[in-house]
Amino acid sequence: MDTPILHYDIPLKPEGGGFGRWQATVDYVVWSGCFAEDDPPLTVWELHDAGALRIPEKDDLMHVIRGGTPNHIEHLFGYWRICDADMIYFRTRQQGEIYYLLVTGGRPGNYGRDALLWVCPKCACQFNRHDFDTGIARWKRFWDVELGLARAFNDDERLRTCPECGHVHSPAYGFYPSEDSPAESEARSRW
Amino acid sequence: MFTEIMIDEPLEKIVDDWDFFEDRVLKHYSTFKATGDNVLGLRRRSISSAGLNDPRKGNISHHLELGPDGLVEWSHSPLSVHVTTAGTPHTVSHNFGYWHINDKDELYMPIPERVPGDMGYFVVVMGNPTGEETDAFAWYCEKCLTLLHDFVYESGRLGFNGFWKAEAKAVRSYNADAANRKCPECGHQNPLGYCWNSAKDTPEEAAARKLW
Repeated sequence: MDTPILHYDIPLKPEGGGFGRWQATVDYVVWSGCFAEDDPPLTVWELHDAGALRIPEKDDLMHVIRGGTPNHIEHLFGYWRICDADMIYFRTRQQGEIYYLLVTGGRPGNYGRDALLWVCPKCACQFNRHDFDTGIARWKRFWDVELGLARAFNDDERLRTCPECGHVHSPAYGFYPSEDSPAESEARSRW
Repeated sequence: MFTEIMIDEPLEKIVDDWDFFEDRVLKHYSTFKATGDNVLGLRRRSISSAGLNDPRKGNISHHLELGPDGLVEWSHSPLSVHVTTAGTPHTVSHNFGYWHINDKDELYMPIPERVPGDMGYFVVVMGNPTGEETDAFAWYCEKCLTLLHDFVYESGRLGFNGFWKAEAKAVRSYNADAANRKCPECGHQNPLGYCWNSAKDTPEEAAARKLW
């Protein structure tokens, strides 16, 4: 019999590099990363009824993205995500580096769905939305398909065209920079 | 990229508690507070590679977890998240004088101070119970780990807001009778329990806090 897992230790600076991988505990799905101070900040955007809300960067920041709120994190993923569970965003500047932590989940049984979509930067229309049954048990489903959806978006201008105002959205990119094509890497640097 | 659709109104008008580390927000989380999917506890503490120091309790770096193979000891590392998994009995020396067993993962993150003399942030996150979950307060013999006494609070059914009253009741019931603290297996007489909030310690509980 395997030894039961009593605890997890997740360094904010992942071993082997600054960009961690999503991992799950019993109740949470967690990501951490550590970047140089002069790297572009991973800034949170949320979409509310009145428009897009930019959460300012601070040396120490703990922000809760409420479940159901469309959110985008600049330079981290090139789309908007809606998770029905809360996601807690931490940022701290320490000795010339910026550490980040994302924690999704908490309330038992509450996390069940994720969605991926794009938001028109001209008129705030939400379009090209994809919904997934996920939750703690199936959390990988989202991360298994997000890059493919970003690539399909990039390959077809019709998918990138806002159905409301006709604006053509910039190219997208997936979550993990190690999987970026040159064009996706360029897109990551821009938004 | 989204500046054209940005909200013009001040941030605080849309999301009042947008930064939980701001003093006006943080002060509401000095114990625990249920917020959305989680129960959050935010403390200002001295945090460094040398350990974790609470202004009132002193060094509270020494953590214990109880598993099938016995005790596991560990200490916090700054900028590293520790997750005690659901169902694992755990205690922190000089911080609370019982073993806490809950049905949700408990996540701790120590963020060190940047300026010497300042204090860092110590964050505790655990799932907000709303179903059949419980929080249990237990005592095990410090010599042989036999279960001596426990008290179960139905936090899912009754709400997490009752946690501290349940804690006080549990500690009082354990401390009320010396027989509770005498191990039926090895005969060892164990020390008193004490609550998380040191401000309410009786002299006897304060003495116990120094012991374990």
